[in-house]
Order: sequence, then C-alpha cells, then structure tokens
Amino acid sequence: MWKLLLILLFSSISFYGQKKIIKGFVSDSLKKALVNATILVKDKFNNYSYGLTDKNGKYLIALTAKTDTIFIEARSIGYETFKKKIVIKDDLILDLNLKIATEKLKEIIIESKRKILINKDTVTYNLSKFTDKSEETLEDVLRKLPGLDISENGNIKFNGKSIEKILIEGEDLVSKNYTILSKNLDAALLKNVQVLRNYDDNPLKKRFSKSGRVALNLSIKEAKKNILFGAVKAGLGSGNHYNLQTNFGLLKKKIKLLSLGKFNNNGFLAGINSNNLNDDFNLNIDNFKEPYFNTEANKSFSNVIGYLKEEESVLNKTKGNSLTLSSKLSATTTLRVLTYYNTDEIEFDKFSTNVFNLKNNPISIVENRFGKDVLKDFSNNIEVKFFNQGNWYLTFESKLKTENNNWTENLFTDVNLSTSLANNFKNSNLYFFNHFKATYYPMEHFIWENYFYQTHSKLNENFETSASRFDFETEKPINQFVDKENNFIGWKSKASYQLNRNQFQLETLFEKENYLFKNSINSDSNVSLLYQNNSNQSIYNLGSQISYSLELNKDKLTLTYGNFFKNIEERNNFNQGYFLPSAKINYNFDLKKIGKLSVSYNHKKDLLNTDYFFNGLVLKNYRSANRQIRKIEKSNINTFGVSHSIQKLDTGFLTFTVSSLSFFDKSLIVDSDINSSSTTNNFTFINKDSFLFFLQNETTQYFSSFKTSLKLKNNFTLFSNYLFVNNSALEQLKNYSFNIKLSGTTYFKSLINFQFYFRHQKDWSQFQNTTSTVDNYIFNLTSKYSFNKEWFASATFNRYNLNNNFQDFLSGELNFKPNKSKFNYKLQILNLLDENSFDVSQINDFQSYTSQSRIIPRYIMVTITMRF
Amino acid sequence: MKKIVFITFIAFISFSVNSQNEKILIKYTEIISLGAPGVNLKSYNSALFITPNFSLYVSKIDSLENGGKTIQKTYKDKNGKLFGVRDFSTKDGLYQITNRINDSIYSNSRFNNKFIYKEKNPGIEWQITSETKKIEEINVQKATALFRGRFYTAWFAPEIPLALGPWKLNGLPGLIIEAFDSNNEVLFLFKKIEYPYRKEIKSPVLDRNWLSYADFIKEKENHIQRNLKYSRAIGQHFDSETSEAETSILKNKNFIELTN
Repeated sequence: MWKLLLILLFSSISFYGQKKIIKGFVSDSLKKALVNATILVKDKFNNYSYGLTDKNGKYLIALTAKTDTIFIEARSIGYETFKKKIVIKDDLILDLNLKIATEKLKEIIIESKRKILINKDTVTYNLSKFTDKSEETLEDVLRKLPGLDISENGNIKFNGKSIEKILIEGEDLVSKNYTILSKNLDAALLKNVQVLRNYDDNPLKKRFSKSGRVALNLSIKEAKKNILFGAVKAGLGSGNHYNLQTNFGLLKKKIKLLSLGKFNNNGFLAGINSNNLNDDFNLNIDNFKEPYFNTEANKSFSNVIGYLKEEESVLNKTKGNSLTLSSKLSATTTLRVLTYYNTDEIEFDKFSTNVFNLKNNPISIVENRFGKDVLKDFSNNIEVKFFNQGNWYLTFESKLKTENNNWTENLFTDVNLSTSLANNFKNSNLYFFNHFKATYYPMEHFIWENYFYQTHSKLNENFETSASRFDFETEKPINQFVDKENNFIGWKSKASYQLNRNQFQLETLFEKENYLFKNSINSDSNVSLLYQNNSNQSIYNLGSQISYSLELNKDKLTLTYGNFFKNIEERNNFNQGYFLPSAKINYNFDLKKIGKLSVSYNHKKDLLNTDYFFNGLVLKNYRSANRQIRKIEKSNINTFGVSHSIQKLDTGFLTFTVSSLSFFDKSLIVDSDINSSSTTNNFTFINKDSFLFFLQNETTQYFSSFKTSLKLKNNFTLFSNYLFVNNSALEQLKNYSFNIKLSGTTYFKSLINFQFYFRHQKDWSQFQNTTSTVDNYIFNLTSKYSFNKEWFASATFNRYNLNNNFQDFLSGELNFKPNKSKFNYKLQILNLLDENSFDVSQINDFQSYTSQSRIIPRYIMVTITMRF
Repeated sequence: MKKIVFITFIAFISFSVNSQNEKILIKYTEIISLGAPGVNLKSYNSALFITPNFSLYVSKIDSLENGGKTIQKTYKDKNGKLFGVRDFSTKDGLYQITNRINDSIYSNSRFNNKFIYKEKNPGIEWQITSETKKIEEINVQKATALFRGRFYTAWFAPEIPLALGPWKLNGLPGLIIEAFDSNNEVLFLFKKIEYPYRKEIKSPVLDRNWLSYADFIKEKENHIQRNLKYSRAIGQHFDSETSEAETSILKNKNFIELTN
C-alpha cells in the first residue's frame, strides 16, 4: 500500500515537474531569420507561456500548458501574425514562417485619457483606477491618490499645500471644518475626486488672478445619493468620565445635510470663542466686518490651564450639536445654512497669589476661588450665492449669534483667607451681521469688488460682588450694569488692474459707526446709584489706499500708501476729525545661495483711547476698576522688519529668522493706585518713545550619525513702556521674554522610537530698579511603539519645573485598528501619577502671579468608534 | 527640433540607425513616490524610443519638461511623518539604453546621473494572465512579475511585438504600455504612442567606461546616508508628530530596486 502511494506520488511529481518544450526557428518568406520576434502560447485554460527569438531567429519555450492542445501566436513588426492551433504530446520542434504584411500596420498616434485628468487648474482622479474597494472613508481614498496626503490630525495637503475646503458636488457644506467629511464620508459613495487648484469661491476673482489656494470637490455616485452615513465614537472611563461624538449625514441631489454632536466631561469644550472687537480701519475686502464685544468685568479669567492638554485639565460638562444644510436653489443660486448650539459647564477651584513688585512696599494678594462657569452659545448662519455666469458675482450672508455666560464663585482673600466674598457675573450678547458682496469683472485686466455691510452688536452685562472693596461703598454689596451697542454700516471697494509684471490696486472705505457705552454702578441691588457713565459716539470713517507691486526677475517690490479720515462726534460734547496717513515699502530679494531676504518699513498714525470715551469708572472685578478719560490722541508708529531664510536641502539644514522693531512716540499709560484691598487704574498720555522689539529664529539639522533630527527654536521679545504707580514719578518698565525650545525625533531601527522636547521660558521685568523673574522648564518625552499594522501604543511623560516647582505627568494609550473593520478601539490612561492640581507661574509687568488649579485626577478610558 | 535635442543629451558621438526600419515613440508619465505610496512625489514626463536594435528610455530630462521642472514639497506619509523633497529635471536626465544585440542595459544611476553602469538584461520572469483590457484603443494584456523586490503589474500590447518597456521593465511578448508596482510607489502611465515615428532617432555610442552592476550596488549603499539627511531635518522643522519604527525601513524605500 505504502509502495503504491509512493509510486503514485513520485510519478505525479515527475509528471508535473517536467515541462514540455517547444522550440524552433522563425523566419520570413525568404528564410531569413527574424530577430526579436515574439511568441505567445496558451492552452484553453489560459495558461500562458512566451518567448522571443534570439539573434539567429531561434526560440525555446518551456510550456506551462496543462493540455496537449495549444494555441501559438508569433509576431514581428512588419509581418503578419502567425496563428495556429496544434497538439503537442512531447517536446516539439516548430519552425515558423511569417509573411510580410501586405497592409502596413496602420499608423497610430494615441494619446491617453488619463486616470488623472489635468485640465488647467482642475485635477480629476478617476477613482476606479486607484481604489480597490478596501477603503472605508474618504480619507482612505485620498491616501491612495497621487499628490494628496493626510497628516495625523486629518489635515489634507495637495503637493504640500493645505487644502481649504471640501466641496460636495461643488457645494460648500462645512466650510473649513472639512475633517468632518474626510473622516466620516463613506468611500463607497464616491465617483471621483477633483483637486481645484487656485480655488476661489468667487468665480470672477478666480479668473482674474491666481489665488494659490486649493480645495477638493467630490462627485457622488448617482445611486448613492440618498444614503445616511455617519460615525459614533463612544468612550467610557473610570471616575464617571464619558465622551460621545456623533456624525450623521444625508446627501441628496438638491439638498445636503450634516449633523455633528458632542457630549463629554473629559475636557473637550464645544464653545467657539468669538473674536475681539476690531473696529480698526481695515481696508482688506476679504475680512468680514464682525464686531464682537469684550466683556468689562471678569475679563481675565481663563478656564484653560496653561501647558496641560484638555483631557488632563478642564473639569467640564459639555454638550453641543450642529446642523448644516446646503441646497442648490437654481443653476445660478446656492443656499447654505449652518446652525449650532453649545453648552459648556466648567468647574474651577483655584488658589492664586499675585504680588505687585513695588520697590518700597510690595503688595501680595492671595485668593482662593471656586465655582462654576456656564457658557451657552447659539448661532445661525445663512448664505446665498448668485453667479449670473457672466461678469457679475453676488453673495449675501446673514449671521445671528447669541452668547450667554453665567459665572458664580465663592472667593476667600486677604490675610489667612479671612475675607469671604460671593461674586456673580452674567452677560448676554446678541450679534446680527449682514454681508453683501458684489464683484464685477468687465475686462481682462480689471476687476472691481464691492462689499456692503450692516452689523448690530449688543452686550448686557451684570456684575455683582457681595462686598465692595472700593472707598465709595466699603464692605457693602455693589453691582455694575454695562450696556454696549454698536452699529456699523459701510462700503468697501477694491479695484485691481494688472498688466505684465505690474499690479495696481485701489481700495476705498466709507463707514458710519454708532457706538454706545453705558455703565452704572449701584449699591445693594439698585437701591442707589453710585456712578453712571454714558457715551454715545457717531463716527465716520473714510479711507483710501493705493498699492503698486512690480516683479523684477525673482525680486519683488511693493509700495502702499493710504490716507484715512476719521471724524468722531460725541453728542453736544466733542466733534473732531483726524487725518491718519500710512505708507509701507517692502522688498523681497532672492540672494540665491545665501537664501531669501525681505525688508520692510511701515509708517502709520493711529488713535489712542477710542474705546472708552467718557470720564468715569468701570469695574473690572471685585477689587479693581478703571477710571477712563474723555480724550483721544494721535500716535506715530514706525516699524522696521527683516526676515531671512536659508534651506540647504542636500545637507539637511534649514534656518528662518524674523525680526521687527516698532517705535511709538506717544502712549496711553496706566497710573495705578494699588493697595492691599483694591486697585484703581487711571489713564494718561505721555509723549515719550516706547518700543517693541521681536526676534525669532528656527534652525533645523539632521544628524545622520545619531539618526536624530534636532530643531532649535528661540524667540526674544522686549517691550519698553512707562508707568505711574502709587503717585510715583514716571517710571520706565521693561518686559523681557525669552523662549528656547529644543525638539528632536529619533529614527532608530527598532520598534520603539522617541520624540522629545526641552523648553525653557524665562520672563522678567525691570521696574523701579528691581528685576522680577519667572523660569519655567518643561521636558517632554514620548515613546511610540508599533507592534504591527493594527496595534500601536504610546507613552508620554512630562516634567514641569515651573519656577522650581516640580510636577510630573504620565499618560499612555493603546490603539487597535483592525483592517477592514468598521470598529476601532482605544485604551487610554491619563494622569497616571494622579496629580490633583497644577501650578503655574507667570510674570506680567511688575506683577508675579502663581496659581494652583484643581485638575482631572487619574482615569482610564476605553473608546470604541463605529462608522456606518 | 526639440526631439532631436532631447536625444543628444548624452554628449558623445551618435550614430544614425537604419532608417528604413520603422521606429516607435511611446511617452509615459513616470511617477516615483519611494517611501510614500501614492503621494505622487516625483512626476516627470518620460519617453521610450524604439529602433530595431536599441531602445532608449529617458526621464527627468529638461527637454521633456518644457525646459526644466523643479519639484519642491513636503509631505506626510501614511503614518503622519513629515518629509521634505526637492527634485528637478536635468539637462542629461535619466536613461536606460537597451542593446538588443548583446542583451544588455546601460543606465545612469537615479541618485547620481553621472554614475553610469551596464548590466545584463535581467530577464524578468513574467506571469501572463488572461486578463485583457483596452488602454485607449490599444488591446493590452496583464502580466505580473516580481523584479528586484517589487511586485509589478504590466499591461502589454501583444499586437505591438516588441519586448520592451519603460525603465528596465521588458521581456514580454509585446510592448509594455503601462506598469506599476503593488505599493503604488513606481508608476509608468501611458501618455502617447506614435507609430511610425518619423523623426530621426540617434542612439548613443556605447563605447564608454561603464561600471558594473556590482559597482552600482556599492554606490547605492554609499548614497543611503546622504539621502536620509534632508527628509529628517525638514520633518523636525515642521514638528512632525510621529516617529515610527518604520522609518528605519526608509533606507530600503529610497530605491526602485529594493533587492539586488
């Protein structure tokens, strides 16, 4: 039996092991050898073998055919194809004779319709040629497309340039928050992907000049246009920590919807911070005028703890949701609506010491405050775009936004924390902005843009403290009401003309502004009015600016001159006009081997103290107040700037340097009265020069012998100004800040590698011949392990030495991302060393500030992400 | 004129081939993204000129790039590591000359185009499959092969019986119209074919001091250290966030030929 098996085995080996050979001679009709003729052989099961003739016209092919019947084809250029079906039992000699082609091979010139179609600024990827259906999300697809790459945090770049937006069927759904799409959109929905180079929302501006910006456009498969997609990320941790994130989307032909939700208590806040009020003369037509208000009281309190990550520090309860919709109303008109609401509840518990470093009499203030801050915001945005497909483009955008903040605290202060106070701060803001833009492009070298706006901003604020620290109502409860209202109406225009290397621009501005400020300080809940201030200004702004730029080989010269007129009228009190000219010159040199150099000089006149136009008191918190003055003055500002860069690509060396020096010939300075119970800031103008100097360098080198790259980044700032404190003479104050950071990455040949940085920040100030200093050192080490393509781990260690106070943090995470699964898993351990609080030290002017804040204690979290 | 100029890149005496035989020109887009699959790092025009006894493949050459092309970009690979790259076409370009008489390939090195070497045509063992399609109007058939560490897919045209193709890929019973490796790091994409090609093709004299393939391997090793420097420095510069162990494999990824 065994023998039989063995025989069978060996016979089968010899049967399959020996290939039949076919060989022979290929010639033309004159029996002349044909060199490099091709011979292709197959059986009926499509097992192919092939060969070529050598310089003597001979060929030899070991057949892979599984059957005796084979099909043979021989070809040579200029000859007819030889085709024959033969039966081959053993090795065979087969000479072939090819006839000269009577009909010449027809001429061909074929050009490709590419996988990638490049049409001017549009690059279209034909996805079927790049994908293999293993992709889950848009991001997976984009990774496979030549030219596109995606960073760890989801930023998408095309040829190294960050993209601005992702459009779906040409419609802008999520504006700049495109990772919502790239990380969640199902790959199976996509028909093709386009890269739009020199993208501009405005089709006419796009035609006029190259924006240099990039966007992506996605085409969705017809059959898939009505599908709900999304992702749910759910995390649960010890200490009742949770984190839930949801994304849902529906893409229909006429309407596209997307909804995003957030619900967590591990530090990820939902709120979107508003910008500060900016009513400077700003001629830039691309900047939408959206004046947001600063609150008066409670302005400097921050919920974020310096240096720490969100998930380590903020004691929050957050929920938020957004819904965006885009719809094509007609061939010429598009509508987009974005609505969101957010609620952040933040607990705080903070002990702080603030020292005023006055030469003769340093004053120290201790505070322990704990309480809660509840922030709510709601926004609704509507945008309509209209393009007549000719030379007009119109857009209209309307935004309604409300913000509410309710902040309550119990506060202990003074020696031994013996004084107890209760403070409450509430504010509600309402913003309503309308933007209308019209672009007219009548001829090749000329474009005219117009922007009309109308804005309304309103703030109501109420601040209460249970015991006044001010001499006007010592130890009694007081409150302050603040009303601010601002209305703008304006028109900006920009006309650009370009010819060859010259470009001219004329920008103009007409603006009317109405600004109302009202505050009242009352004792004991409105029983009596202690202070009241009113300011109601009407302001007219007129401005024009002309720019000229010229390209000279690789150098570029830009000249700008502007003139502005501002008229400020305060009812019955004040009516004054100001001319504020400005000029700027900038030159970029190409120094070839020694890099690129840019120098600039800028002169401008600016107005000081336009925000508070009254003589009166404004409360800032329970212990400090500002005493404003009704005065405006003009200051001259001169700024010199230099920047330089070298990139030595072959030696791995890069360096960038930026420096600027600004002089101000007049300043609005503070004259403070500080004592252990309160601070009052008075303001005054001085005609002394103050200056600001800034220098930054970044240098990088790769050291091949250590398999490590290192980067050294440092910056230095010096600001010189003047102050009065407690009726002193005018004194100079110098604030210095120096920051150095050395960071590195290893490239060892092992499963483990490191990233690290060491940072030293030194801030010091000189005032009244004394120097106050803070030295902060931070060391970070991250080790990363990748076990295989599905399992990754990392551990991060941070040592903080903040003014000789050592604090250590350790965290780790393990990731499992199974291939082709809808699920991802993550295990995190945060604050492993279980630090309960975090201490921070800062220097600002002549004040040293240290604080100790409660943070999130050690916790473990497991997160599962599911995509559908 | 440009097409003539473009051959004279090798600045030594040329000879005219037998002009009664018909010639073919095929143009490709050569996309090389070593270490960065699918990133489309370096994309150049390339061309394969075919005469009966010689073929000449050229790429990264000024004359095919409208006078010259410079590529300068940073990119992150799939692990998020940041790299920098700067690359440009040159007057001489990169080339492979296949001498069909002595079955040899003459090349200049891709990392140093002054380094010239000769090797026996490596004789790639293609597996021909029954899969066929059309690339534009050309009937092509799929073949696959492992060649020096990469698994290539080639689409060849049996109806154009020339065992030639881009770079060192050849030996199929038909002209290779498109080829790419399984990592998406090396792609030769079809752009244009012209048959017969009527302009004069001059092929270089091969009587030069060609180094051996073994010399090339040595030079390749020497090149590795030089090559890593810039990419790591720029990664650091932009605070690249990850440093995966895989980086060490980068060494191998810097070449089309991963094995000797």
